[in-house]
Amino acid sequence: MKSNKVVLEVKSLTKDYVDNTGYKIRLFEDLSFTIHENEFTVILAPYGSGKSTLLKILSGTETGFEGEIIKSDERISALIADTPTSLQWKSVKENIKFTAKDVSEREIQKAIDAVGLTGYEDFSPHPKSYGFRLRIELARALAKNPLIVLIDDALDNINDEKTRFELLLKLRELNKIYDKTTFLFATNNLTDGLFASDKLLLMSKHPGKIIERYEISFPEERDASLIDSEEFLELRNSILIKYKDANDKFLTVKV
Amino acid sequence: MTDYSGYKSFAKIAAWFTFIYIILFQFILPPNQILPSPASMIDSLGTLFSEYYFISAIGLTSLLVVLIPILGFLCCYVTRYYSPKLFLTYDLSATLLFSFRFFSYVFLMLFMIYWFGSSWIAELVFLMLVAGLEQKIFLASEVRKINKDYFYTLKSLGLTEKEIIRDVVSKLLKPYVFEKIHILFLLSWGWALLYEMISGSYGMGALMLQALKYNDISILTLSIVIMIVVIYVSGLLFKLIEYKIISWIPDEIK
Repeated sequence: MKSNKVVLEVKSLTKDYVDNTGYKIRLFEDLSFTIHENEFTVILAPYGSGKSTLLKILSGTETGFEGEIIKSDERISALIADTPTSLQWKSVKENIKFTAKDVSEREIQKAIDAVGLTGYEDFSPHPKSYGFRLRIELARALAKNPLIVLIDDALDNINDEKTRFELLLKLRELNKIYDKTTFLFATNNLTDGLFASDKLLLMSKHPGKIIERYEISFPEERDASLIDSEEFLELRNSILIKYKDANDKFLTVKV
Repeated sequence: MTDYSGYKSFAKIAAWFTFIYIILFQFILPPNQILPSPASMIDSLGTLFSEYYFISAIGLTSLLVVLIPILGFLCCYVTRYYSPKLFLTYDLSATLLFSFRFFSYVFLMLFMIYWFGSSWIAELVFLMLVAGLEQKIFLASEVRKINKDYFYTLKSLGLTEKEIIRDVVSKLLKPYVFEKIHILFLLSWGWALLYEMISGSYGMGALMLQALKYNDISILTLSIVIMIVVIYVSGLLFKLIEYKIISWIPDEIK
């Protein structure tokens, strides 16, 4: 059930990035937005706009910024990076137990079942099985009962469209199963973002600002045919136009 | 991960080389003072064992060289429990030493021979220092290539930096550390032989020096051939151990 409870509030976030040559880029300027409980939120922004940095800041693992990040409670903000970080020398279950030492077996099994890895508990991930590794990372995060799961373009490595949509639907399903956890997905892929979201935040590049907020009214239950619907294509085109206006120089978003 | 291709290629080249050598020096070329015929080498086998004490010489040198990777590995990996930062630190001294370190090793070797004379313990300490420093420089440079996302994601799940270094980064580095220890193991043979040749009283280095003094080319060539076989077999064994320990496929380090 969607609620109006704000779980995360970002207030006037400003951050500069200095590269190796000393060149300074303003990544975010006065960036503000709120995330509501159990509302699947997508941040759509082009390549190199600082999505990863933003999620690191929200997860509490990156410092050196101005502004405020307010969380509704003390639970963790679990980060899933754009490159796989599950441990290849551990099985699925061992991977989850490694970070969830204080979590009951029941909760661990619930996470495994929820991500669709039932029967694969003793399998170890192959480095290039991106979908499998993403599921492990999702289970690893969910077993910790996080306030929010921050997903950083983790589907970017998956080229097979069918697998991508399966995973997007899985993310939405997980958002429903874990109703006290909220999913925030940052991507540069407009179709993926729009397909998965309840709310879509359009972010500009250098400086990063929220230029538009979209409340997505597609049905709760979705399938791949949605992307061919007139309603979807219309909304996608209007977002693209808005996006082009704001990011004239940096049109690197995937359609 | 474990790659035997280098050993396979070497075996092929060595087999061809041996075949050509036998044909040339046994059947075509006349006896000479540069390289001995295979038959005279076989005749020298008895002398090698009875007069040159080959078993004790190769035993001592092999023991010293085999101890290096084991001790080097233990040194590196034990520090990660007590001081994860030290395990990874890339300090200025390592950078400064980097370019000139081989001269430093030769200088250190000469110093130790001069100071401690012909002591196998001194040789062991010398090999340990060289291998330890090489290992440290390598670890510090390789750790920069580890995907930083491991830190961010695991930290966000509540792990401390110490736990991540101890239980994840050290493990991620293990295949590359093994590769380096393998190279160090092969290089250590060179350093050990040089040390023993200069100190001149024990081990394979001294044996070869003695054979050179007596101009006993058959013994010299035979000991070199046996040493190559020992290095090859022990290197292969090392690879097998690596294969047993690292059964998982690591991420590619760019």
